[in-house]
Amino acid sequence: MMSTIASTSTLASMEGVTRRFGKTLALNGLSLEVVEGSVCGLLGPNGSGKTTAIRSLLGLSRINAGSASLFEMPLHSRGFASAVRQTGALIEGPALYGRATARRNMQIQARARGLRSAGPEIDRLLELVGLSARADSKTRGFSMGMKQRLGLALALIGSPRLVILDEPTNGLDPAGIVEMRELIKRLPESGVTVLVSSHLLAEVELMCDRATIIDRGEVVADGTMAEILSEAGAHGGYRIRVAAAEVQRAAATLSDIGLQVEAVESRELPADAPIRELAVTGPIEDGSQINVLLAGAGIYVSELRRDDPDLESVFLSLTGGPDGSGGMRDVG
Amino acid sequence: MSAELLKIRSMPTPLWCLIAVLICFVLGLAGTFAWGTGGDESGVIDLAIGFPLGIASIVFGVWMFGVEFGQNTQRRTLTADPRRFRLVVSKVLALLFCLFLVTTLLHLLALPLYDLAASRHDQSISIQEITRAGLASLLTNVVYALIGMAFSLIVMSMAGGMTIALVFIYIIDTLIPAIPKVGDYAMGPALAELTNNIRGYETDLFGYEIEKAGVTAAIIVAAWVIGLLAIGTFRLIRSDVK
Repeated sequence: MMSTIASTSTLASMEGVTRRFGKTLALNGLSLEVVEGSVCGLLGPNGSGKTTAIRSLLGLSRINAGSASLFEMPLHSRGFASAVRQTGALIEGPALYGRATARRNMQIQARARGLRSAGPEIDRLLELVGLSARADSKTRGFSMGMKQRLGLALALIGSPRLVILDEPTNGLDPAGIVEMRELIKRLPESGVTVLVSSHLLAEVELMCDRATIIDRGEVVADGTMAEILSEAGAHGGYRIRVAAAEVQRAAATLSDIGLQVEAVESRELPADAPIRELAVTGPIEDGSQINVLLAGAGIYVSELRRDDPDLESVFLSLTGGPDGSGGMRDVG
Repeated sequence: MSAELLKIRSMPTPLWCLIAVLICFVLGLAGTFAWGTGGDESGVIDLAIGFPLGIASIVFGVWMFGVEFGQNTQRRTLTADPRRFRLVVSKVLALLFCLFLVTTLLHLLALPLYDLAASRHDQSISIQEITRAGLASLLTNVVYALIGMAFSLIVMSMAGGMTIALVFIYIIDTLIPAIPKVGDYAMGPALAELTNNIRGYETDLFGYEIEKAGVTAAIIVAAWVIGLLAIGTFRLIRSDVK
């Protein structure tokens, strides 16, 4: 039987963790915290240090400086092994014994966790991830999606309180991604806290209560989605469409009351369209204000909609844009 | 240890090792039936059972950790239980259990079957010969398997471990005795001294008289095995897990 560690609100934490691989600085004073009962996202471009952070947290990779703990047990302390045994993990894709069946893979993991009779739990988990029908098939014939789902089942064996998933939707088709996302979102209902890493923004936005965005081994944003958007200075605005002939007048009318107006290109509107789109930002409480103001000036909008900031735009602005300039840092 | 035994039961490499050993067993039995033992009962048992078991033990020993490196399952094993030294102990115990089981069963099986086959030529194989051959084989198998395991840990690779273990046991270890002074501490001659004494041989393959095995030979063999295993374990504990 597993020993139980006292309940705590912070299940995993890293404080100022630094990890170098030769001249490459993979983690640069990284700090993060996983609060009990949450689905916490670890977001970053490829090569930003997400997997290294997760490996360090689980004691698989050494750290050069800083501290990490699971269930308040510091890395490599006496109680750390017990803390790891209360943690399920899926790191860099599922590690499966290809010549063994799905069920046998589960049995091996159960035994390695010290569980003797895990038969009913194995059946339940295989059912949960939709692999009951293939339970007795060798996993080398599995598709990537099936392997990922089995990886999740392996991570959940032994009823862990914390599950750490590294890019769990890699290799899944769109339906599989939705399925996996729903599975992960439901985990806190059964008392499981989740730390999930991804470079897919929509995934994190839809799945997670809070997120830590890292770039080049450093935290660039941390908090709930709303906090991240707000800290990044991303304010919402409105998009309006007016007749092309009225663009100048509409812009001047809105600028007069202190709003910022910018003409934007829309893929939906061809260059010669009689309508133009404007992005309006500034201190507006309600979109109807814009409508009232422009109507008062004799300008009638054909469309008015909110233009909410999304995690993608924040992420790109925080991590150096879409040119893939993120990644690890050379310290040589 | 039970997780390790389950892996052994589930994977093909241990099974193929067993099949190869059983094929040699049957071929040896057929040879004994056809031509008898030629007056060297112990030699027949060594050739048909001991030698194949020795090679299979190297492969099996390398495989114990090699399978984790080869399939990248080490991280999964260590996230189930991160105690790396304990993992080494579990694998060593599972390895010893399997070697003891297979070596004992094959020699127990050989006693009636080979004796029956030899009786066709008015020859016999005694319990004493089988017991001596079995004990010598068990010692060799344990040493070879642990050396194989140690090399797979040191190089952290299945193929690399296999190559280096075979090169060490069949080439390097046979060359070390040629080095003055250092050669006195080679593993191969020390192990041969121990196994020849267990078998009750008085002369070696070339007709030279065999010395009585002393504590020194046992210490030399143990030092090689423990030393290499310690280096491998240290490497496992200190390394990042892929």
